[in-house]
This record gives sequence, C-alpha cells and structure tokens, in this order.
Amino acid sequence: MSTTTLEVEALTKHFPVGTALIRSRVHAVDDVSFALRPGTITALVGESGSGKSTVARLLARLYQPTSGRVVFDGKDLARTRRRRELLRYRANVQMIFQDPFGSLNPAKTVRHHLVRPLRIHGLHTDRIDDRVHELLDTVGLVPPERVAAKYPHELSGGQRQRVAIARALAVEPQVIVADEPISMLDVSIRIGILNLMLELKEKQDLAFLYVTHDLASARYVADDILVMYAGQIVEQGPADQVLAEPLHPYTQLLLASVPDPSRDGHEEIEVRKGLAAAAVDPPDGCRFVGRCPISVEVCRRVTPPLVEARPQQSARCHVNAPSPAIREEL
Amino acid sequence: MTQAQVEIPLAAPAGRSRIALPSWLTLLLANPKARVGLFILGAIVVLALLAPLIADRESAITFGRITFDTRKPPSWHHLFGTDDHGTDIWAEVVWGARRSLPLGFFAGLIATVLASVFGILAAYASSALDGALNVIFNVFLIIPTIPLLVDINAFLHSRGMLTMILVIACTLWAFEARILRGQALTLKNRDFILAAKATGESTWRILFGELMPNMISRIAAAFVLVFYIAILVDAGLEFLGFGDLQKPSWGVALYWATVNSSVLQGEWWAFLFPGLAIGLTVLALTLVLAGIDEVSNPRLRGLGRRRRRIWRVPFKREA
Amino acid sequence: MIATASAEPRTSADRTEPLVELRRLAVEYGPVRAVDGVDLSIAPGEILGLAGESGCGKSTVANAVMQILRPPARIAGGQILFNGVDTIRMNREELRRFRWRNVSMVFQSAMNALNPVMRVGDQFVDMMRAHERISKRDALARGGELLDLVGIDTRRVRAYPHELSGGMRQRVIIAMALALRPELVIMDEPTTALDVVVQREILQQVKTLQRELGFAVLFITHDLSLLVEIADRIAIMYAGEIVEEAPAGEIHRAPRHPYTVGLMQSFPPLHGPIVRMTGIPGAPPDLASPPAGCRFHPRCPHCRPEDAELYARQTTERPRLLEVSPAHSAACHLVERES
Repeated sequence: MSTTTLEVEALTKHFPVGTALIRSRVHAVDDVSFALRPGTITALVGESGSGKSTVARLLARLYQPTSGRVVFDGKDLARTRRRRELLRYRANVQMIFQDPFGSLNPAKTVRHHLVRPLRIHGLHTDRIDDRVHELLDTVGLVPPERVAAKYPHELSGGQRQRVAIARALAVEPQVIVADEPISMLDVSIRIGILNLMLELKEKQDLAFLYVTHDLASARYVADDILVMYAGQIVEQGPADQVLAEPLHPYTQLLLASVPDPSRDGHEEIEVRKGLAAAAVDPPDGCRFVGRCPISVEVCRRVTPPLVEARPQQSARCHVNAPSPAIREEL
Repeated sequence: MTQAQVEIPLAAPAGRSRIALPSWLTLLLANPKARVGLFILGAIVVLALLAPLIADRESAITFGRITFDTRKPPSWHHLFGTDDHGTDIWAEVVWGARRSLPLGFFAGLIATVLASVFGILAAYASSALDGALNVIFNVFLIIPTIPLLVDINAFLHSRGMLTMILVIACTLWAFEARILRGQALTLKNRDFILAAKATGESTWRILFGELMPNMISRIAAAFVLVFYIAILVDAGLEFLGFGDLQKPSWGVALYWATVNSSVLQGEWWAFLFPGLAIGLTVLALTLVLAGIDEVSNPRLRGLGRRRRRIWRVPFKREA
Repeated sequence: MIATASAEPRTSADRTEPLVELRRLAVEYGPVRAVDGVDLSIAPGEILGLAGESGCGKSTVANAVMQILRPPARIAGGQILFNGVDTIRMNREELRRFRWRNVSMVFQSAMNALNPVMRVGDQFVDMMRAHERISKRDALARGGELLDLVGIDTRRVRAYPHELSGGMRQRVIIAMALALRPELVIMDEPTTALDVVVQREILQQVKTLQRELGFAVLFITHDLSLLVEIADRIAIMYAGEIVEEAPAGEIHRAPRHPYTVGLMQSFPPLHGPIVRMTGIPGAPPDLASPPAGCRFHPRCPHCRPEDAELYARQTTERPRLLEVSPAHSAACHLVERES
C-alpha cells in the first residue's frame, strides 16, 4: 500500500499586475489539490499559461503560494522560512527544468553540479567523487570520470538533461518535479529520458510530477494525470482512464487536437475563441465556458467544483460531472 | 553498453601544453589583439621591474636639480636624451612606469571589486534595496573625477598615489556597477540559478559562486577599463601641474616638457618618449580589452571552432 | 516522383511535370556540408513533408529553394528547378520577382517575419507594393480580405503584432505568404511554438486553403506524427541527405529505413497498447566530419561487424536512394540487399 509522499491542498498563486492604483491579480494557480505517491508518475498536463509551470515552481519552493498547503511528511511547508526546515524539504523535493542548457551553469563542470548538493546536505562527504560517478552511472552517462570533467557546452542536450536528473538525484529525494524535461530535446532522444524516468520510478520508488503539454508522452509514462486549464485542475484520474474516456470538454478538445497517425480520418475540431492562459481577475463561472460546446446557463454563473463522477476520476464540469446541488438544478 | 546508457564519444584529445596555463589565459593568448596588447604590457612591466638595474633613479627627478647634461638629444649615454633640467628621460620613463602601473592596477582593482559586489547585490536584492543602491550609484556617477581631484589637491596638499587611487576608484566604480547590475539581472532568472536555489544553496554562494563566475569577462573588461582611465587621469592631472614634482612620473615629464617649451626648442625627445610611454600602455590595455570582448562574445570571434559558452542559445532543438 | 541516382525512367502515375525539382543539391557552410546531394521533387498542389531532427539540413533546403541563403552558406552544387527553370542561375532582378510570387515562406516564429513597430495592414501594403503596382487603399483592402481568408477579423488589420496572440500572428504570416497567390508555400516549423489546440486550428485552415487555392506546400518539421496526418508524401532527412521518401500512409505503416523506423519508435501512441519504446541511441553526427559510408551506421541496430560483408559496405559506401516499392524509396544497404 503506498502512502502519500506529498500532498497539495487548495494551492493558489496570484500575481499582481497593473499599476499601484488599479490592483489586478492574475490567477495563475487556483485551488489546486492533488497527492503524489511513491513509485508513481503523475502527469500535469496543460497548455502554455495554464499554470502548470507555476505549480511546479511552487512545489520546488521557488515561489511562495498565496494560499494553500503543501504537506510533506505531515508538515505544511508552504510558507516556512526557517532554513533548517526548508533544507529538509529541499532534500526531499527536487526539480528538473525545461531548458537543458539553461539549467546548468555554463562556467562550471558537471562534477561541480553534482558535488554542490552533496556538500550542502552533507551526503557521502568522505567519498564524494565515488558518489558523483555513481550518480552519473545511474543516469547512464558513461564513462563517469570523463563526463564529470566536462563543461555543459561540451555535452549534447540529452546528456545535459541527464546531468540535471543526476543533480536532482544527488540529494536522494522522494519527489522529483520535472517541468517539461523533454520538450527542448530532439525527438529521438526524448524516449531515452522518459525511459530513464520510468526506471527511476521503479527502482528507487520515486514520486514524479511530470509537467508537460504533450499528451502522448504523458500517456506513455504517467500513472495518474491532472489536466489544467486557466489555473484550475479541470480533470484528474488514472491516466489511461482519463485519456480513454475523458469527462471534461477541454480534455476532449486536447485529445482531438493532438496529431495521431493511427487514428483513421480526423474530425475537424470547432474553432472557438479562448485561451488556456490564466485570466486576470476572473469572474465566477466555468473558465472554459467560452469555448465549450456543451455549456448550459449555470456554467456562466457558478464555478464548477471538482466532482468525482466515476471511481477515481474527477472533473470540473456541471454537465459531465455535476455536483449533487447542480444536478437538482439541471 | 545497455540501451539506457549514453556513451560519450571518444573525442580527440586536445594538444597537451607543456606549461599548465590557466584556461582563461590560453584563451586570451589565442586572440591576436590580446596577444599584442599583453606583449606590450608585459614589456613595460618588465622594464618597470628592472628599473633599479637599468636606470638611475636620481637622474629621473627633475625638481631642484643642478646638472650640466641638459638638453641633450638621445645618445648612448642618455638613451632618451635629457630635458632642460638635465633629467634623464629614459630614467624618467622607466621609473615613471613604477607609478603608473600600480596606480592603474589598484584603482582598477578597487573599483572593480566595489562595482561587482554592489552591482550583483543590487540585481539580486529586493526592489527596495535595489532602489536604494541605484540612488547611491547615481550619486557617485555624478561626481566628476578630475575636478574632484583638483579640489582634493588644493585642500589636502596630498599628491600621493594612495589618494589618487582612492579617488579614481571611488568616482569610476559606479559606472561599472550599473553595467554589472544589468548583466546580473539577465542571469539571475536563468534556470541554473533557480536550480541552485532549489538544491538549497545559500544566497551568498549563489551570488558569488554561481552567478559571478558567469560575469568574469565583463568584470575583467571593467578592470582593464578603469586601469587605463586611471593612468590617463593621473597623467592628465600631472600635466596640468598637480603632480608631485619630487617623484618620477610620465605626466610630470610631459608637464616639464610643456613648461619648458621643449618642442618649440626642437627638443622633441622630452615630449615624445613620455608621451609614447603613456600611449603605448593605454594602447596595450585597449587591445587587451578588445581581446576580452572578442573572446567573450563568440559572434565576434570569426570562424573560431569554440562553441558558445556563456551566451544563451536561442530556442532550438538539440540532440 | 523522384529522380533516382541511377536516372531510371519516371514511373509515376500522374504525368504532370514537377513544380519544384532539386537535383543533387549541395549547400555548404564553410567547411561543413549541411546538404549533401539531395534529390527531391514537389508536384503542383501536393503537400510534401520534410522531416528530420535538428541539424539534418531541412531548414537549409528550405532556404535554398527560397534562395535566401546568406554567407557563409553557399550553394555548392546541384540544381533547383522551378517549373523547369534553374533558380540558382537567376540574377537579382529575376530572383526578386521570383520570391514571394512563385514561392513564399512561413517561418517558425511570426516575430521573425513581422515588423513589431508597424501595423499589420501596413505590412501587407508594404509587401504588395513591392511586387505590384497597386494603390495603398487597394492593398489595404486586399490585406483585409486575406485576413478574412485565414479566419481573422478584418478590423484587426489596424493592429500591431504584439496585440495579437501567437496563433493569430502565425495566421497573419500565412496570409502574407498567400498574398500573391504563389504556387509553392514553404512552411518551416510553422506551428512548433504553438499550443496543440491552436496548432490543430491553423493546420485545418491551411488544409482548407490549400484545397481552395491549389498551392503546393513544402512542410518542414520534426514532428513526424503531424506530417503523417497532413502530408501527401514524406521525405526523411538525416545528416544532410534524404534517407527515405514515400507516401505519408506508407511511411507510417511500412517504414523501411532504420532511421525512419527509429523515428516512428520515438512517438508514443495516443491510442492502443502502451509498449516500451526505444527511440534511437546516440546523437546525430557532426557534419564537419560525418561518419564514413552510411551516415547512420553508428546508430543503426542493423550495423554489426558479425555481418562482415554488409558491415564493410555500411562503413565505406554511401547508400543510394533506390526505389523499394512504387513511389517508395530508401537509402539503405540492408534494404538494398533485401530487395
């Protein structure tokens, strides 16, 4: 039985925009809740601006949430500023970034990138070089001695991303947040990184949060999937279930849009105005209503809650996953 | 090799140099402009170091001398000739280097340290602290170097090197601080800085261990710039008559050459050699500066094979 | 229809002359051969997909056809025939008239093509008056029509590029590319930077326009799954060469070249069973010193020293693009041996 490693409750992040006089807020992340379990990969899927990268950064404590809880090991660490607690959190929750070149310091060797986390957290200090080589071995960069001495620009994109993964593994975390780790890599290299993630999940019982806009790769690696739209989670559940029978119209739209050569013939999707990006001071009501083919009157008035319409699968939709109160109304 | 492993291709080993030079030096030496500049600079430094052996200090001091060897053109006895007072120009140039070079060096060093520390702090700090620091930068930017030095001269009666170094450093650092702050700002949101933060790196280590090494070329450029501006400012003041006439220096030599109307009297050597000394030093430093520029901006390097190191690669897919 | 290296007679069913024909095209960047002996042809009104990873030379081919290569890139050999006329031999004036009228291009990022300080309408006017005698008012009206054609409100003709969303900007440059009704539109990763839903919308639009107006498309991308859906034929490029060419469906169903097989193995499916995929080990070669013989051999699962005779060929001889089934060719020693 797997217990929860990391639990996120009602996580919210608003960014102020506008002048000092007119204070508006961009609702980048609104009321996001999910749990990460050991030995599972959870995919967080959404388009640009949907808030998925913000969620990743909130989890990595690079931002502080406006409200909500991030519970690790029984303690809410969302807003703590105490160095020791923060360090303990960072020893357990690590992040991998999208740009393989940008996430490595161009002026430092691979070895430096792996030694720093070991030293900061006091791990294997008596055998640092051995540990560095072990880590490189784990991510498949051989021969480790040669790789350790290289600078980032001497490595290919796929190799750099493996170094980034090794760096994340160095602190021996329980959770790894991967923010679009393959979208800037060449196509033939991507599968290698995804397979590495699967391997690490199985062998080290890690919990992954895999943030991506690519449904196909999410399907390939993920056990659970969360779909984000305009800062909210609009659907969640086991990956194969959600992708086979999506409840939320946005998930359906995504599935219809992704190129799929094995699909015979292609239904044209209807073009409607609307953006997946976070809104400024959004009103009540469903945020997808402008693009939704099945919306009804209540969708404009009441923000739909996340309702478990099928076992383990929830959606935020009055029509396909109505809450009991709404069902009465309809 | 299993499917999961990615073999690093056996690259051709680079030629092994016999002397272990720091990598930045080899890089700089590879650049032709920098090579020439460093060579000239090196020659002048050597001359300055050998000064006690190759020139008589006494004969370099002009003030209050009585001598018979005046106004002599260059000869074997007086390599650069003598001026109206009988000062040996060669000695003056060689010993003068012992003033200009350390002066430029330390002024550059202090100014660069101040600019780096405050520039990087301002970039990384909260907007309140950044705002405060910016005000300080602006205040210092307004202070004009030469008039301030003239004033200080008048009040302190101090014409020493230390005063000169400090004043020059304090008036020039703000200019560089602003530039370095700008560069640090572009770097601070790069993923590798965020990654260091996510690893748990302390702020100080992030600033000076991760961020600053990526600014080395700009900091080096700042250093060289202040170095040669200091030399010029110092020489300029001395030329105007604010120098210490008891000590040998290039600017003072030029001062005397003007005061004694050496050129009008046909004694070109009294003017040419000190002027050349200043000119060559500044030229050498300018060439080194150009070399640093070219080395740090790969696009200026022509068809060099070295790939982009510090510059961000624009959105592109990589294997 | 392709021109094979051995110059076999053309056996295509449709007998129209190709619109564009590349014969042994070679492009060099200094010492590096980015495109090395490429044969390709595009029939009028067809959508040809050109797929490959970064550094394979596909963008270089596009720029060569458009004749917008800048030094140090230079065409080192071959011909680019447009309606039978070799564009490499054209002088500046002829090229100026050729570009945008006969061939136009849509770039990956609209901000590479749009002037950020000019209104969209003015950019249309600018472009049209460079090619035709037309009054400003008429040009602006035409611009509005073109925007309508791509599904943008005509009133947006007064907008600045930054006021439009990414998808709309991309539509604007598609409209600009179609302004002079060219026979060929080259699209170089036109939707890569866009979200998947916007991408679908734009591609639907492009297909509709293509059916209506009848222009040919050279569609360049790394996303092979996308090409299978929209292209008529697909050519796969690797390390500066074409390694396989076939109708889109056949590339998907029956890829022959090991690189193509590996590429298809790099796109996880959206439906059907989830199996462990392999991708392709290693990395594309450095074109300054490509591998001897078949350029893919260091990464090819079928290149093994045990098979001595084949191995010798793979490591010394460059494979030729040969027809393996009707309208389907591949450049591979193994495939050659098998057929």
